[in-house]
Amino acid sequence: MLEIEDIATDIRRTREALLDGYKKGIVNPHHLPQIATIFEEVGTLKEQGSYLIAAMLLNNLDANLRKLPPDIRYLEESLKDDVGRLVKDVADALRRLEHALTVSGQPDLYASYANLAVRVVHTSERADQISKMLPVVPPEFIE
Amino acid sequence: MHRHPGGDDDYPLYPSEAFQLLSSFLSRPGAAAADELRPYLPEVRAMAFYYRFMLDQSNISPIQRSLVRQFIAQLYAAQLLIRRYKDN
Repeated sequence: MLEIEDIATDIRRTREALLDGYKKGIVNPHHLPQIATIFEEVGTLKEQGSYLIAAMLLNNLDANLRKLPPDIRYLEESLKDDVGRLVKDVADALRRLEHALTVSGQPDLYASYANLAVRVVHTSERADQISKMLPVVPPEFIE
Repeated sequence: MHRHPGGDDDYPLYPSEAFQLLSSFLSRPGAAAADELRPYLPEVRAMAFYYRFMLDQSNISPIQRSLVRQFIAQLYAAQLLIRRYKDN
């Protein structure tokens, strides 16, 4: 049977994959949909909206991280640092979620959701800003 | 995410949209994702073609140059992957 510790372990692995990916120069959110699905299934089985909220946040986070350049090895240093900060903030939000699930309980769980939601919005905004830094292309080239 | 190219509401793809399309595809490639990206490839290739010219110019910032290189590299990788999904 699936225990809360199993979910926490998956969250930890996701966090480690993100940080490890960053060290290797890639943005690697690939484990996020997996834990989102677990939250979704637990939430549906237990009829607990709280888990479904977490699932939505994790799915959104996955989608927004995938808007970032996946290969950051050759990016300009300031952009690379920028993406690195985003990835670390997301990893920290996941660490808080893991801690709230296993140690601190309900009030902290909602605080960790709120923190995760801020990271979702922040990641989306920054990904949009980065991609809009590309030079303008004359319309005749893209029609 | 996007309107379908060739539809009534067709308008040119923005470079930022193309960049995010490529990033999304490369971070979770698959047959379905390849089908979604394939119709946009002509437009994305046209942008990359223009960017290749831009790389020789000195009036773009280091950040822009870095993103342009990333754009071209992502398109190259995406095209290799898309071909593989077509072969399967």
